[in-house]
Amino acid sequence: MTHKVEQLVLAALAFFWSFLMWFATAAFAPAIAKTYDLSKGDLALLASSAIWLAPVGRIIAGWASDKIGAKNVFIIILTYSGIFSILSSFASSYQELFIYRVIVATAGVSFVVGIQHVAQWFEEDEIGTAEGLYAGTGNAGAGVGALLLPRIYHLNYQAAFLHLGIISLAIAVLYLVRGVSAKNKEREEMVKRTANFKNTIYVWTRWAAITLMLAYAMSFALEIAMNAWLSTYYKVGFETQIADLGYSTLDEIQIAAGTFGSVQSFNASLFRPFSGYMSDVFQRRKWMPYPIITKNLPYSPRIHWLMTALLAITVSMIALTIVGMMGLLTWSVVVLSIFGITVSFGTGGTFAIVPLIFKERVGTATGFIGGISTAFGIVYPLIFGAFDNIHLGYAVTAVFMFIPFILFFIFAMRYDEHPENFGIGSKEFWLGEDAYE
Amino acid sequence: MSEDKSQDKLYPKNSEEVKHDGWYKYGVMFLYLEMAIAIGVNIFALVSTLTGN
Repeated sequence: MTHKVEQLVLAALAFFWSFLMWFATAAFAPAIAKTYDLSKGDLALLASSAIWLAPVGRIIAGWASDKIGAKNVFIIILTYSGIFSILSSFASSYQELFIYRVIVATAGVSFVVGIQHVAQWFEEDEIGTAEGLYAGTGNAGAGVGALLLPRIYHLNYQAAFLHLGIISLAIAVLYLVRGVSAKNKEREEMVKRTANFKNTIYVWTRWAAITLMLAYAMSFALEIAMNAWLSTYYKVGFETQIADLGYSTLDEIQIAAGTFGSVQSFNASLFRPFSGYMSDVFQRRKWMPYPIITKNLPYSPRIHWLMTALLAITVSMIALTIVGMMGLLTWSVVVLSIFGITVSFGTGGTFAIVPLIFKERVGTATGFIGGISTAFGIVYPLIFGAFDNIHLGYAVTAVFMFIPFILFFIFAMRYDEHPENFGIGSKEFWLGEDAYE
Repeated sequence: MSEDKSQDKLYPKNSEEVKHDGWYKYGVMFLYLEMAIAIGVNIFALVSTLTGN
């Protein structure tokens, strides 16, 4: 016998540990750079490599969760990533370490597995809170990594990778013993039936799915890119200010940079459930401030909340560049803190809408939105590291990527009825007879 | 008034108006605890930027 709360705790624990392993590389970036004498460009590449396999991996993981059950997929992910984390602690060259850590980073695909697992156990009226607890708690693994790992292990990243890998294997055994994929057989069979190629293509071609994917790229992909990037950013961008504060050794600088960067990660993950609450407040009070977005859908206020989040993310990115260029370390951390909250508004706001627009294809839509969007997490650190002035990348990204994304959001969310019916090709074209089922 | 009624029809009941299982209130309490932890980390990081400790 098991209880849904036990399954929620299991999923959150497995996801938390996956994220911790994923971003352990970033937490030790300065130590790794020192060991192998890496340049700023090398560090940017290492940061982006953490996300390389996530887009395809998440799509496969989402599909596999439907086909073989979330329990089995979680066991597989925790086992192989644990083994490669252990191997990475014994790496004898940077190339070897790089390959192992890219494989360990694929543990991040577990996000969609847990979303599916929780959805298989909780009812519609409690799913928001359940998913919020799962995603928020699990995502916090990245912040915990940035804050605690350098303090516990200092420059000894090898020991950290070894211990993280061993505990991952232990959690895999726990999942094997206590995990149950779905509340009942009917639920398990239903998702097996709906996961097919026709429905996948249909979802991928909807304007609504594409714009929600871009909204998630502006929020979650940015969050994970920043997790991997911020330690480097503060170390390089505020070198003088950090030295003035008395942080002189590499160990101390690594801890300081990790601490400053961790506010983003903690806020982005731990305020995420609050975003779901705000979506509820918008819905309850019927707040719809934007005249150019539909006001006639049953969930229109939630769309307006997400629009607010997207605007706030864009503004805070520009502010981050401004305070950085002025060399204001404290203000940079304050803005970064606000930025983290706006990011949580975007992540929570997006997944408060996805199940409502794609009621009949939630798994497929989640795989697409959560998977493809992650590819943007590869691009952001490369942009941030591309300018001589390390502060400039945030504003450039906001102006040349985020503003066009918001314009597309306005275009896709202007329909007063069934926005999911609009896209490249009609519903009938992609689904044939199934369109009328 | 009639407009309000049609609005109520359009917007389904909020989750707060639904009766939840016993676990739910503890779940919401945990969400607040998480936010408190986040605020604590923010304060700690800001103090670090000011004092160097």
